[in-house]
Amino acid sequence: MKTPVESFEDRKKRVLADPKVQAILKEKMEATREFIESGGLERLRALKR
Amino acid sequence: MPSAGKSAEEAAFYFCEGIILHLRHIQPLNFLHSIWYLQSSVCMQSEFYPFQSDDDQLYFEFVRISFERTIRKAVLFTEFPHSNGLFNLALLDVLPNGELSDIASPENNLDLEKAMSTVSECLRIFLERYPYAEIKIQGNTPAKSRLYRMVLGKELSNIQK
Repeated sequence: MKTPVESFEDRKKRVLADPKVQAILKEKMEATREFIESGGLERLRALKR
Repeated sequence: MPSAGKSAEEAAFYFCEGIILHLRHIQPLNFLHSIWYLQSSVCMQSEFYPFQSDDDQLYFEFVRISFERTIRKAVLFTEFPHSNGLFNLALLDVLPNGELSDIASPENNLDLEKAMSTVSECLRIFLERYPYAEIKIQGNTPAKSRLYRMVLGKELSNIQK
């Protein structure tokens, strides 16, 4: 029996909805939230200007 | 690019805003719901794998092929809330059994440079679509962060030329 081939679009939906990916992204967002909220990002942008 | 003397947290940020980008050797091909990017035979830049993106250029895929194994990689760009244009770059393995992993060990792959070149091409396409975006690239281990900083830093400097 042939294994159905997953389309790019279906795989994208699956990857984005995957709990593990959601957890990874949430962790990244949380880790950076404090940096953004404390003004770190703005300071870094000012340094770049 | 980050310079020496900044904190590790700050050094993990690569700011790409304002980079002047141009199509160098990419041939986009629209195919169903995605776009394929293929390297032309006259390319003099780093070799990269053919890759595919969605219409928004926020999700990319390519397949790494080495002597040891074949791995499908997904590159995700996700905007940080309240950041006014700061995106996270996530690099994931889509395993043959359908599971996802972010713990690939690049040390075992012989095609590391080609894979990183492909990621940098994804970055370039993303930045063409979002020219004012800034991107955070940070490995989930210090070794990976160093690797990304070294390899992608070199590739990004090529993009800016």
